[in-house]
Amino acid sequence: MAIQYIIMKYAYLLMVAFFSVLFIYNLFTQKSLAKQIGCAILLIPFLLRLFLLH
Amino acid sequence: MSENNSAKKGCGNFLTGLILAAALGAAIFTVGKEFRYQFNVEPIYKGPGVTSVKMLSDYNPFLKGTNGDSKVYVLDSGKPGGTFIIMGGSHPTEPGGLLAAVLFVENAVVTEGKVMVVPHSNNSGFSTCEPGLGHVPYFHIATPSGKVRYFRYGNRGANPVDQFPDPDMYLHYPSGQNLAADEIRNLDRAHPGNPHGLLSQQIAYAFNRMCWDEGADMIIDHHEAPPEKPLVNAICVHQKGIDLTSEMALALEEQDIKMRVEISPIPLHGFSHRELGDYTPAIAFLSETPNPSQGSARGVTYEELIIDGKDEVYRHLLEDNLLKVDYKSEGVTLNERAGRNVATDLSLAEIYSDLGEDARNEYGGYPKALGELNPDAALKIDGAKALEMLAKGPEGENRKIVITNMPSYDDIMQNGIGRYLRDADATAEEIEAVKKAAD
Repeated sequence: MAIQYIIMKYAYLLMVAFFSVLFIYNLFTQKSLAKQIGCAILLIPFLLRLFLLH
Repeated sequence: MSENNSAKKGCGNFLTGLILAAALGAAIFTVGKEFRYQFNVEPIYKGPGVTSVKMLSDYNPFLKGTNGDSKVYVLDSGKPGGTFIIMGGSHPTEPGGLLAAVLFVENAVVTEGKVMVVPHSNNSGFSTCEPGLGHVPYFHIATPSGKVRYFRYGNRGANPVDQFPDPDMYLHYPSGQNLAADEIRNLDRAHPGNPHGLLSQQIAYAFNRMCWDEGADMIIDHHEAPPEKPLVNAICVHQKGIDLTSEMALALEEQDIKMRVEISPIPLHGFSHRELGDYTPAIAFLSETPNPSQGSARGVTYEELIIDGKDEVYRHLLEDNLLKVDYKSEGVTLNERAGRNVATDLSLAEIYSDLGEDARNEYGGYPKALGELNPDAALKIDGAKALEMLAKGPEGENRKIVITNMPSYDDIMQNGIGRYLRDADATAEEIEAVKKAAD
């Protein structure tokens, strides 16, 4: 139970944080403005989940 | 050609990324602030009878830190007696039950036994509204000092962000009964709970544990229902409390309150009146009052509809004889609905105290494989011992529950519910004065 709880709570957040970092990296390094906007839009649910709904 | 294309696309740089990041941050901050506000729990002030405040996570530690954890107000007389648990807000779309529980927390003084009140039983559900139903998220009631208290009108089930996604079909634990998918977030379909389940089942399990740990004699779950539903102005009771409830209904008749007694159907699983009666020593009840603001036939839903309970569409249906249940053309006010719940609880406590050992009906319909089926393994009570405790009820000679300092149904109808709501916790002087008067 304890392992399941830890996986549910922390591993999930870790995955969300990992993808958020990838998108943030892309947001600053992309040469295409359209792709940067796409990254910013994609980041919205990830950051909301990371900071607000955990 | 390809060089031209890449030149056109290459207008993004670190600066544009920075601008987008700033815009994203501002949007998330603004939206997030509004979103987080939904999770605030309205203040409930401690009345003169509150001796301590526990949490549901004290009974099920897995709830700690989750949106399902909720305050349990303990009104302990310090004298021997029975224990009565009052659940409000099992369905956060049913404010009559919530307000009745709040009235107990803010007014009641217990002189024998113990009363435990959970106004936000399904705390998660209070943090969101039900999508597509056009409900108002808050309603307001003025107190005698002129201040205005706000209360949340939430979702019937738990917040989907706390328990997602809903399955295609909900199989109730431990019965295995099939229920509609979204009922998996419904606290009143999750009893007797599961310590390894989803949030609603975890909350239900906390109530299960509370009944055992506190040696509960009775537990009542306050509900409301749309006026077109048959189970309104009624109390549903587990087989252990048929005599007690029948006497209560007669006592309420003397106060001109009609309360129909319904017996909890044995094969209907997940309900508090069924499972808490079957799986804990407590006698389980569920009360229902009519609430037009949650009915599907209602017109436009304003805050006034929650408080005044007056709806034009229901009035027309009543005039055309299309309603088969109790609904008055002048509306069903929140005062009346909360007052009915208060009168029911007070009457149950009084009659249970009067009847003593005779209050409990014999009942042999417990699940046969109790030790295997229920979360009893986690309760660390062996099946035989559990069955014995269920049949006998909590031990101890004096099981009286005496509640004082509560407004009667007539008081609430006459003065309004706001008259009995507080603006701050009770002071030491007030507690002393009320206790002297109660003695």
